[in-house]
Amino acid sequence: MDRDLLIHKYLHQTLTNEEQMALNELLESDPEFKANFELEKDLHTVLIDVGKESLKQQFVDFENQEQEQQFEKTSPSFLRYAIAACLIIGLSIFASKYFINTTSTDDLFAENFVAYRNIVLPIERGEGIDSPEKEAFFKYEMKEYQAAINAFETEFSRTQQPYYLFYTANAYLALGDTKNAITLLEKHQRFKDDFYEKSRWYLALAYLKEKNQNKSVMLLEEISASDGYHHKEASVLLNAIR
Amino acid sequence: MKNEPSITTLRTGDSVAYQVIYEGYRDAFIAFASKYDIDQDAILDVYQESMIALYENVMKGKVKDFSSTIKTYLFGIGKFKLYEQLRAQKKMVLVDDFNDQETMEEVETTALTERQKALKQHFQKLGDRCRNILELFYLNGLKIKEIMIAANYENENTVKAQKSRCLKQLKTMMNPQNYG
Repeated sequence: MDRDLLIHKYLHQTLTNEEQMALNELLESDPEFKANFELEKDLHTVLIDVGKESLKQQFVDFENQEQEQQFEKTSPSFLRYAIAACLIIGLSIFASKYFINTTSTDDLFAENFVAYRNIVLPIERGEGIDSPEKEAFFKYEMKEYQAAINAFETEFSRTQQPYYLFYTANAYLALGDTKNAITLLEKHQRFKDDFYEKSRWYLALAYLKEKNQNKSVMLLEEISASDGYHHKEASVLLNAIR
Repeated sequence: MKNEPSITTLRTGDSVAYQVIYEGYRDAFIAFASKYDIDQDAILDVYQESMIALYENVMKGKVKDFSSTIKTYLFGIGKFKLYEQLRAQKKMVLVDDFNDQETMEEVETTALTERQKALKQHFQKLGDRCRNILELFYLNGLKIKEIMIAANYENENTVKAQKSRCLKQLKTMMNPQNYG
């Protein structure tokens, strides 16, 4: 059996009894394999430790942000403007209630969602559709989303190219099927391919449409804090949500 | 929280999923712990340590599935840690509040051995491509074929060769007495 796969399965607790026996035999009979195995086990522990540190820092940063917001609310300089601000806020609420329709998450989604353009196999005018991949993207460009979904799914099974997950999710979003889109985008996140950042933006939009504001806001905060795809749009959307 | 992240998502180490849990149950934990004579900073420390223990237990496979909800599991760890702290300070506690604690093994996070500390230092000196491939395989649990697709490698053999080169680099960087 493939030794890499055996170690991978051991580290992620998916060994069958038979595989466990094969691993034990290798560990007993092959000292070099045993030395490598020990290194890889240590590396697994080390990477979890790195992950713990990064998670801890993430929580500390979150609490610092919370404190800053709290401080801004209670600092004396803020108080000087508090009454004026209250008036403005009050008037805005009054205006929004009586003159402006409150923007719902559905509206925000509709304002921000545009199915991501086909950059994998752009179809030129007059060009023949000579492959199943091109046909799938052609249907997507023609906004025949259900047909595109079927074709993308077939292509994904055949090629395992993760961008098909991204485009299938876009087609689902265009059809208003947010649940399927979220499942696919979450799956796509694991691949960290060239569409990774774009996928995060669409996932944030999908969460928003699904009224999962916590997840949406958190992703948008991460996107807006980066220099990546749609970081400015993410800031604007965050302000609109809040 | 309406929908807790799945154990499959948590096993990939997805930081967003852990943050969702952190924010989702933060206020409830503070409200619970505030019944006791303990300041908010200490409560947050306990809560963060509990989240880290949750992460470690999931990533090391100590948790295969949550018997009830993530919240129950997380609060079990948190309550144990809180109880220990209050007991050390000889403060009064309501025993009923702490009768659903997790076992000691699940509550304590483990420290690295000296060898692992050295390995960590060397890992951080590796190039981006090496760190990335090793993280995808050993931490995020991607298989060779998935790494090939995710990181744009030509074929599975190239991934295997690159991973093996990176491991060899680490071995060379380590003291040969530790990995002879």
